[in-house]
Amino acid sequence: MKGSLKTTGAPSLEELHNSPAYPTNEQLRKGPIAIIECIEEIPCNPCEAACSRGAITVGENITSLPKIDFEKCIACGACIAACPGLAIYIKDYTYSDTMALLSFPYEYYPLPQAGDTVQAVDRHGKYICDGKVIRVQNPKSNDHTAVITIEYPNEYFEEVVSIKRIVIS
Amino acid sequence: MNRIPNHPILGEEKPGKEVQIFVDGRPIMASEGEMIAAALIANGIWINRYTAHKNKPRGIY
Amino acid sequence: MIETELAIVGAGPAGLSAAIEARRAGAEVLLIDENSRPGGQLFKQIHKFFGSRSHKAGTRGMNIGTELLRESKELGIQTWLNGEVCGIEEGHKLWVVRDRSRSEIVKAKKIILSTGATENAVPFPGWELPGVMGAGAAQTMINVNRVLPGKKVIMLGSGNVGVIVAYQLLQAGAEVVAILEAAPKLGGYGVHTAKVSRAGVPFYVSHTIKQAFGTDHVEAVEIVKLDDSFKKVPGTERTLEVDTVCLATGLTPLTELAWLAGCKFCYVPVLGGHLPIHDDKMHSTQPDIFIAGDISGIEEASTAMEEGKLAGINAACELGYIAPEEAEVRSREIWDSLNSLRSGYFGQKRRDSKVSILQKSEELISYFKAMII
Repeated sequence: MKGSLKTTGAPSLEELHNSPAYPTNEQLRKGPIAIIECIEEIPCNPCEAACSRGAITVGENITSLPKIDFEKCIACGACIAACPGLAIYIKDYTYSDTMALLSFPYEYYPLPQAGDTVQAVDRHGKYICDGKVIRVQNPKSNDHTAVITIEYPNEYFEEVVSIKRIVIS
Repeated sequence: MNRIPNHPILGEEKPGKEVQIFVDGRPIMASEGEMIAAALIANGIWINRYTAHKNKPRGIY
Repeated sequence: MIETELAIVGAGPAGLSAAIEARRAGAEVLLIDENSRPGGQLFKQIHKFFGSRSHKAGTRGMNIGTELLRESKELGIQTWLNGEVCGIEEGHKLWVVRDRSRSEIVKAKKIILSTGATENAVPFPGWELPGVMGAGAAQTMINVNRVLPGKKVIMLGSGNVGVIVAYQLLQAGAEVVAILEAAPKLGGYGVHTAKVSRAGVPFYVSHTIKQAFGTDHVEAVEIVKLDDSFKKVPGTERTLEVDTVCLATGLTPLTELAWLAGCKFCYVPVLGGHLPIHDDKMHSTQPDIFIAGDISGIEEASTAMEEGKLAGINAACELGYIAPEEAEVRSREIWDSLNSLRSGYFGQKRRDSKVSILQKSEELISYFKAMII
């Protein structure tokens, strides 16, 4: 159980690859897709209704783990703010030759601004590399769950999932 | 001050009516109608009393 | 003395849901709460709830609270705030102290107890220092009073309360130094622990606080590793600099009024300890007294609301406002909803425990029936 969700707080890559929603390496690098890091059976299904394409399925039993049909997913990002667990993000490996794109939920104050350089972190909050904020979306329908999009070097594609909180002194 | 003026979910705090209250003779500013414990913490006052026997500090819990 | 058809004690998610159902059916309802604001703990729940659409999933707890208050206002539910129910006497008479200044007796045909729960504390040397507080108290300070109780916090307990409050402390601008868990596995939902982990908060499983240091306030804590039988491992101590210790070490149902009313109890550790035995209509073993929410077992606001609806519908049915067949159909729908909330890795244990309580209730009923024959 070393390095697992129930001992460190964050899912390991092995646990993620064994969960039904996580894409295969091939799917992961094909283009923009939604990634759901939801590996525990909890009673929850708003992601299913949030997807207008019907790409996300939880099913009749609301504790079933979500699945994504990557053929149907257009990476619109509607599921990001709909997930009460903040467990969904969008990644695009093909953004440019050297850079990848990440859109993730962010509920801290203050919000970063487009153009800012931010510190990209892994699942344990460890600094991995710098990233640049491309856009910040915080429409009323998100109910204060902002969606931040950053670009970052694609060599860190899988480990980067968020950014360091901006702390005002 | 230990107040939270801006919050990602709750937004900016709408300032209430400021009132002056006296704590052990010292004036501090509080927001009208707020919990006294909150006003004390906002002003950095943590100790609410000292115990009778060992004179140990006690706060909210 | 004031008479009413249905008195509900506690205006949290369970009590409000019960009041709304019973009033909508036509019953005369009096809702009593000791606080100056209704809503119980809902207004400090600033995170989005889980569940399905019918459980209001994806909506923040505080907004669910606002919605419930709007409904109860529209229905004109009579509500006494600052009303402490200090006793239940013979003949369903509630002794209420209003505004800390005057007593009032409320005689009700039916009573619903939805009194909620209280936080557990864990004692260690230094636990009485200013700066050591319940996680719920810290949550009230940051989310309701908009005051930061500390800047460097350690959280003891990794259940959902511990990880959610840790996250909300981060949102309020505090630093969370660590989250400790005495068990070898973290307790809360993985999506909660993962989001706190992403923010750089370290988790320590098999750890507890050995002592807190400080003269006028907490200045540091000594943490220690625990072995498989929860004994402290000597030599594994380390000191962390903190100014606040939050205890998220479980909740205990507030059952005093149920004891006073003579309800029969059972002991169910998974659900928080001693609980009034109740049937599938949330009826206690005492005639005319129902229970709902955390008093019937520590769960979540979403289950409390469903149980409140059950109690409200069945109390209204006994008062003659809902036909028994209709009450049964609606109760069954609510049970379907409850069963879906109580499934999966986290819910199944609670569901099994609830089933055992219902069985105890049935055993008691058949026992008393046999005595009468």
